[in-house]
Amino acid sequence: MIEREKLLEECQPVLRENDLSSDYFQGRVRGVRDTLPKILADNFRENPAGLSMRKKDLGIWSGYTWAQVYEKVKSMALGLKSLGLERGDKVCVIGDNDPQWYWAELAVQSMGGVVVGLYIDAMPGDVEYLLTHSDSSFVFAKDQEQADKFLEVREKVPRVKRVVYWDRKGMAGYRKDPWLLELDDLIHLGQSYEFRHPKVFEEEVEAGGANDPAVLCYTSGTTSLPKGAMISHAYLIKGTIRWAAVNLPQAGDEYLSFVPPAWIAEQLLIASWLVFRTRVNFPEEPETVMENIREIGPQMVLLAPMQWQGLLSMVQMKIFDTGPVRKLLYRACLPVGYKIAEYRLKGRRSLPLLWRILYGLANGLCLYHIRDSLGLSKIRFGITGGSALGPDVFRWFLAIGVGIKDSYGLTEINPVTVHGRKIKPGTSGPPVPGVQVKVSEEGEIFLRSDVLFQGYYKNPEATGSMMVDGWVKTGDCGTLDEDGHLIIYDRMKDMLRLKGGGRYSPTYIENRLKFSPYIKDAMIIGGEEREFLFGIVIIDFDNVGKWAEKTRLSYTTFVDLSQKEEVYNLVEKDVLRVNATLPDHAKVRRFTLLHKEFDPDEGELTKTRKLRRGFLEKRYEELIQASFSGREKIVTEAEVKYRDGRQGKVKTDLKIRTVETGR
Amino acid sequence: MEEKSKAVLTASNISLRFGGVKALAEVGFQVCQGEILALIGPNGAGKTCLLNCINGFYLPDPGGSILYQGAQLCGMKTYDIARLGIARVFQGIQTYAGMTTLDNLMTGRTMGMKYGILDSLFYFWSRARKEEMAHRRRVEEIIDFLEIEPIRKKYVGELAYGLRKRVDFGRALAMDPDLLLLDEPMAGMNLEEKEDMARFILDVSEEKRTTMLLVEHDMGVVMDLADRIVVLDFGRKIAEGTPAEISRNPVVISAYLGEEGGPGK
Repeated sequence: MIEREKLLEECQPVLRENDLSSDYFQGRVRGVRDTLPKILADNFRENPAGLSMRKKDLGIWSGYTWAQVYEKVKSMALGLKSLGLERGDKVCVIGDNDPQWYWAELAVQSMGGVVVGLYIDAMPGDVEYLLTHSDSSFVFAKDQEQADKFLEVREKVPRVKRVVYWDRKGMAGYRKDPWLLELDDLIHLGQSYEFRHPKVFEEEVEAGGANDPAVLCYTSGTTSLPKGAMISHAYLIKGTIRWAAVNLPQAGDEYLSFVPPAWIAEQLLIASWLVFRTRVNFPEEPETVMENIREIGPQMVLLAPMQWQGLLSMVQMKIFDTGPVRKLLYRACLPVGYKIAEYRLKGRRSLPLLWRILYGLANGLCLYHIRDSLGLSKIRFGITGGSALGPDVFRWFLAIGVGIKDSYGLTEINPVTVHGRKIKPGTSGPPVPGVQVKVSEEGEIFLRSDVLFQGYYKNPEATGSMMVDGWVKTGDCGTLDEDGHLIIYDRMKDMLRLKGGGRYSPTYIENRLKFSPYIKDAMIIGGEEREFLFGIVIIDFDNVGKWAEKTRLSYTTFVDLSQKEEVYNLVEKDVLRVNATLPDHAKVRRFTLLHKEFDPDEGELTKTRKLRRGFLEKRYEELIQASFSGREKIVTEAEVKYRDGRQGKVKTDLKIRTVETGR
Repeated sequence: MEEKSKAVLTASNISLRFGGVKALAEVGFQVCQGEILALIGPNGAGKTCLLNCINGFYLPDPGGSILYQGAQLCGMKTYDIARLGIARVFQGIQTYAGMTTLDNLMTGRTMGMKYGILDSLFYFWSRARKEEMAHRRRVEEIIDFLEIEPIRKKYVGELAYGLRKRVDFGRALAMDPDLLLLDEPMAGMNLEEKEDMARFILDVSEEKRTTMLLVEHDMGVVMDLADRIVVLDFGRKIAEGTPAEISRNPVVISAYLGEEGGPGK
């Protein structure tokens, strides 16, 4: 059941705070039904010709109306049914963000099935584990690359009846295999099934209920094997409404679908697309997102902090490469933007006339054009989540006129907080309506809400350890500030102490380091047995390479470039800049530039590109020991796993640099 | 190999002389329908010369003959040969640096365009527009196939080497050829680019059943891709057979390692 009036009542205080008209929001909430397929059916009935999604295909944006989406979903759903899908069955979907992904999800849910989203870079081993653990009976896989993973583990997953693919490129040699099925063939199966059994689709959709599981969201598993959180339709619908109360999406808002649908955040946005009839746009290829975002001019964008940061470094590098006039304009206008941003952050004091004129100039000459070339000129709000966004990144975007709202949520309970009108950098915003936040004495955050997962699939112990007297134990360390905004420091287990007892958060330091265009990744190592902090830094090959070209420094490979004395000097400047913001005990005293990038395929990063610290510390143990025993360099031999599965060894000299500690 | 046994191109008794230098000496071979035939040999063995003969850039000495689907290629103009459906990816880079990827690929379609200057003057009312749309569609399919969407509108001159080679390959594909001559398509590429290119070549061969004549130095690539191999050394054919046969052939091994008593003496 979705108690619509209760929901609206809870949302009232937030709605009053917003200046935007909430009529549309209230209207949609009053009419909402209790499963996603039912809402799709309503959209089809009430607005069949309305444009629902767009995909850039063969260089042209082609659109799908609600009627077209509904027909596709219906045929696919019936196709699955004719092949033996039953209520409660699990279906895996893997592939880039495509209309087909969305259709597959709704088709499965229409028949009472549950969708298991996989990340596109999952290895065959992960695929096998998730297929087996989730008891999946069907698979949707985008193309040859994805289908190959299933073919590789085929013998070990006897439950899987068919693998449906939607991009036929490179599949010519597979067509004879009856295990594989092209999406168009599935649709034909569905159409002929409908001819023989009319009304089955409508009946199946109506048979669904709010508390049916809709999605199994596997957590990325920083610590252990992935756990599948069971997410119901009620969770998605109520969650998206609460989130929307703060941000008020309007009919026909353009949204760029880019974060993986296997992530709960995109799932909430799929619900938002249905409930609020926004328009979802799919980029042509992941590599063309920056081009596509400009063509769409979206009203809302959800990007992970790393991607926001990527936008910023892209602009910085382009400015670095551009002519003197543009450089001058950028340098002159950006400080004005920063000044205005500060005014806005402090409250709504009206600006002095001089600054208003200056801002008008800066905006017209430079800031608007940066926004425009990033495709953010129409943006009402940008959202981030997943991990902390560097305050410097946040300030820069605010300076060019784009407010990025931070949000916080877990797969298990979401959304928890999001910024509304008032954006406070360094915080994750106030709790959304209906969510209670409690901070324990140790500083751990506990949450309570009725938008709650139904437990982990086949893992009640894990579910039990997550719940304490009806509160969700987040494992995050944080606090609520005087305005009621949530501040997250770090994971409880990741707040560390040094030998002297000084506390530090490695993630915080790493994020500050990563703000430099020359640093792609970093890992800070300390701990209770050690006296100081040591950093493993990964250079950004593109940007440092460009810098080397400018300064006429010759280099051959990543390994060679990373070990140049000049590059160490360059990075040391950034380390000093970060050190200046840190208390004495938490300064980075030594660092090394690693000869390779951290790679998820080698198990060094999780699929969402978080560091797997335990693994990394073991892997680079020798380097770490050398650094704490004061050595200047070590010879390291790293085992490298190539993408085609072969293993090899790389031998290199790694320098270790001691950072100047004098003031 | 049975199903592919029909020969599309038969070269026999090809000799080529530059002054006193004998570049090719009585070379003969067949390319069968749908196969990938690799042409290998040490530097200066005459591989590119042989392709140039097929293309019509060089005219072989009298007595030689190259039959393609029954037509005699020797003495034909290069553009007429191209019209028969023979496309080529050149050694090194032969793309138009000042044009975008898209325009480069469109040049591959010019042969199929029928409209003239008059039609293009009245672009919106004539068949020119309709025709161009059809060609553009085919080009977009190739862009999708080669995964070069991000560089669709970039000037080819500013692209990395590996990508330019890919554009070159795409332009040859845009001709919808029946016989594709590939002259070292992977020279100068890194491992990842080579693997991508190998996959594209196999996909074209599988999906379109395009016949291919491949010249390549990377033996790993040749052994993986080719159905049959012809080995040249100092202008002579010294061996022919499947990859397994060739890799065991002592004459070939000695030609590559330059051992005493090799046929190159």
